[in-house]
Amino acid sequence: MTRLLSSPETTAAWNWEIETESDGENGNLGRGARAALSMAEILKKHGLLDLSQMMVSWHRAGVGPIGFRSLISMHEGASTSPDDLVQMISASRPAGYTDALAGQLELLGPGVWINNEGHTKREQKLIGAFLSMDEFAVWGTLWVMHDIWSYYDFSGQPHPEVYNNNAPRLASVLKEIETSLDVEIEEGEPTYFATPEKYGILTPTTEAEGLGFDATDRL
Amino acid sequence: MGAWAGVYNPQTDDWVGGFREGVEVYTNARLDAVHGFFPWTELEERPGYAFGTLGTNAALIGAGVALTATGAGAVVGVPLTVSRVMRIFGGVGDGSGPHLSGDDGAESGRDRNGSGSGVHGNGAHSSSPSAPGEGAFSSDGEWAPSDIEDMNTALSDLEAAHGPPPAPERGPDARPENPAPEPRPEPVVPDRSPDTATTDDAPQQHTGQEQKPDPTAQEIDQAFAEMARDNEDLADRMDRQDGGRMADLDPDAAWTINPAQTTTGGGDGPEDGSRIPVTPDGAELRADDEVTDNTDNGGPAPQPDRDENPVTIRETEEPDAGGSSSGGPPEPPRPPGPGPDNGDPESIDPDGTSEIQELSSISERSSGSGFSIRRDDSGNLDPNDPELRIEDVRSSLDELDLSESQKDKIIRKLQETLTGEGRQVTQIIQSGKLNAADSFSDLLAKFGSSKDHKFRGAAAELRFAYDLVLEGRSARDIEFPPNSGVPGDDVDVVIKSETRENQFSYQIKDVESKNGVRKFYNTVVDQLSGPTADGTRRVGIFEVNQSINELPEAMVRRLSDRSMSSGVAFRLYFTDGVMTVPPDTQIYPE
Repeated sequence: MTRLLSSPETTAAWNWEIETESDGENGNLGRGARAALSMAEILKKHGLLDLSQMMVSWHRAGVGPIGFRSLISMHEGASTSPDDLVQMISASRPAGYTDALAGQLELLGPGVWINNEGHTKREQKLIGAFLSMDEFAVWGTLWVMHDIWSYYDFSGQPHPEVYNNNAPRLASVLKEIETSLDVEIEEGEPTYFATPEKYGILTPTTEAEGLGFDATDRL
Repeated sequence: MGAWAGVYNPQTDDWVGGFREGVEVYTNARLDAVHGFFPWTELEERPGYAFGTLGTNAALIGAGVALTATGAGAVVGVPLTVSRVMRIFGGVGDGSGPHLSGDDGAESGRDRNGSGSGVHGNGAHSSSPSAPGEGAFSSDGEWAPSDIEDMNTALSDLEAAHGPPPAPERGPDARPENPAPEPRPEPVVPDRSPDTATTDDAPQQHTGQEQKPDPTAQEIDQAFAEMARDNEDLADRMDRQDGGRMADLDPDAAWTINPAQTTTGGGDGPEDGSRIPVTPDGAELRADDEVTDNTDNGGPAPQPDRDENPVTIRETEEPDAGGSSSGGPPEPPRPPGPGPDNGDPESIDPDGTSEIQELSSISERSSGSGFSIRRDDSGNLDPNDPELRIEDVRSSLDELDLSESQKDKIIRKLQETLTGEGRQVTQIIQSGKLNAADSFSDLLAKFGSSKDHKFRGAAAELRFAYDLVLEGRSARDIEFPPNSGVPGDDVDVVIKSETRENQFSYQIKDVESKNGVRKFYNTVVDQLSGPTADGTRRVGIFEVNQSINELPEAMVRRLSDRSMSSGVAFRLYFTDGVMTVPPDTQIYPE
C-alpha cells in the first residue's frame, strides 16, 4: 500500500479537557500554549506531526470566531518556549480587534506513516491537533482522516500490516497525552468511516467474508 | 380529598357504593374541613389550641392575600394563601384514603413518557404529559376518579412520612420496601393503574377517625404542591385565577413556602449514585454517552425566544433528600442540581438554584419549544409492512441525488438498525416534506452508515428538520450543509436567511445522559466555530434521554461559561423539560 486515502471529514477524534482558572486577560493563552507545545512534543516523538506552523483563530468573548486567522511559522517547532509562543501569538492579533483572544490553536506540520512493507511515508497532514480555550478551560482535540489507523481500509478490505504499523503509534500518543497533561482522553463520536475508542479505532465486526464496511461512496 | 368528593369514605377506609352514602361522606367531609379551620371540639381541653388555630388560619390567609397584592411578595403570597386554604380543606380525608405510596422522580419520568402515546408511539408529540391511569378533568369538565387517586397518592405519601411506619426512602428505581405495617384491613382501590399498583406494598394507613394523622402545615403544603403538579387542569385554572403567578413558582413551592427539610444534596437517598434511569419502554439508560451527531453555530446577541414560555423558578428550593417526592403523575420541569433524584456530588450546592435561574431558562417540552418529534425506537422498516413498502421507499430515494449503492445501504439499514428507529425515519423520508431542502441527500447518505450511533445521530437531525417543516417553515429554507473539509467544522442544520447574521446554524447531539452533555458541549462549540457557521447565530442542540433533574448545577455553569465565551447558545431537550442557556435566548428565527 503506497497511496493514502483521505476522508473528506474527520474519521475519528479524541478529546480532553483541562479545567483551569483564567490566567488573566489572555483567556488562558499561556496554558493553551503550554498544552499545545506538550502535544507537539509527543506527536513529534512518535513521528505523527512535526510542528511547523500554528494557525490561530481569533475570537471575541460572547461572539466567538470573528473570521480572522493568523498563520505563524514555528521555526523551532515543538522546542519553542511557551513564553515565546505566547508572544508570537499576541503579536499576530488582528489590529482592528484589540480585544480579540486566541480561541483556537491548530498545530500544523507533516507526519510519517508506515506502509504494509514497513516503509515510512511522509504526509503533509497526517494528523490533526488543536486546542480551544477560554478563561475557564482548555480543550484538546486530536483527529485523523485516513484509514491507516483502522483494521479495514475505507473499502472494507482488511490491511492488518498497515494497521499494526500505525495504530500502536496513535495509541501511544493518546496515552502519553493523558499522562503528561494529566487529562482523561475521551473518544469522539462515531462517524461514517470509523468508531473511535479510547486509544484507537474500534475494529468492527465484519460485514461479510472478512470484509469491513465499504465507505468509499462518501470519499 | 377523595372524601370531599364523596367517593371515598375515610371513616370506613373504603369506597362508597351509593349516592346516599356519598352525600353523607361529603357532608362529614365538609364538617371536617370547617373543623380544620376552627377546631371547636378542642375548646374544652385545649381552648388555646382551638382559638390559636382559628387565629393562625385567618391571619395567614390574610397575610397571603396581602402579600399577593404586592409585587415582591406575590410569589410567596399566592402559595401561602392557597396552601393555607388547602391545609384547611386538606383535612378532609386527610390521609384516610387508600394508601398509594408514591414513586420517585424516575418513576414519574417513566410515567410521563411511557404513557403518552405521542411520545414514543408514532412520533407524534404530546405536549401535556400524562400518567397512565390518571384522570384530570375530562373534556366535558367532569372530575375523573383518577384525579382523586392522584390526590390520594399525594396525601398518602404525606401520611406515609407521618404515620407510625417510617416512610421508606426511595431511590430512583427503588420500589418501596414493605415496612411491616400493623395489621389492618387492606383498602380496596378501584381502577388502579399498573404503575400505581407497584406501590401496594407501601405502609398502610390507619383506619378510623381516632387514628387519623395530624399532618403538619408543611406536609399539607407538600401535598398541595403534589396535587397541583399532578393535575394540569387544576393548575391551569389556578393560573387563570392568579394571573399566572403560580406558574412562575418553583414546582416544589411547598419547600419554599415553609422549608420542612434540610438537605445535604443528592447523597441522602439510599440509592443515590447508583441510579439507573429507565426509558419508557423499560430499557435501562446507562450513561455511556453514545451520541448521534448533528450540528450548529451562533452569533448575534441573544433575544427572547418567541416560543418560550419559561417556567422561571424564583424561589430558593429546599430539596427533599429523603425521597419524599411522591410518584405517579408527571412533575413540571425543575431546575437541575440538588434534588431528590440527583446523586451527582457536583450538584450539591444549596445556593445553586438561584444561580441556575440566572444562567438558564426552563420550560415544558412542548410543541412550542421546538424539536417536539421525539425519538421513536419502536421498530424498523418491515418488508411486510403494507403501509411502508420498500419499493415505495426506493422510489422516494430515486428522487434524490443518491447512488444505487447508497440507496441500497440506506434501505438495508432502515430495516436492520439496532436503534429501532428505522420505521420513524422511513415515515419522515416518505413524507417528502424535506426533499426540497438543500443537500438533503447528504443527510440521507448518513443513514447508510454501518454505525448505529451514526444512524441515531442522523435520525435526530432528520427529526429536528422535519419538526421545523411541520412548524411551518419551508423546506427550501433548510439546508444540511455539506462538509467543508475544515477540521472540526460541522454544521448539521441551517435555517437560511437573506442575511448571514440572521441565519441559524445548528449542531445536534442525541445523547443518553447528562454525561453526553459534559462530554460533547465543547465539541459542539468547536464544530460551530468553523467557516460554515461563521457570522451566523449558532445553537447547540442536545436531546438528552434523561430527566432535566439529572443535570448537575456545575454543568449548567459550564454551559453558561462556554456560551458566554464562544457566543454559542445551548438548547437542551430533556425527557421532561427544556433548558436554554443563556436564558431566553432566541433559538429559532421568527
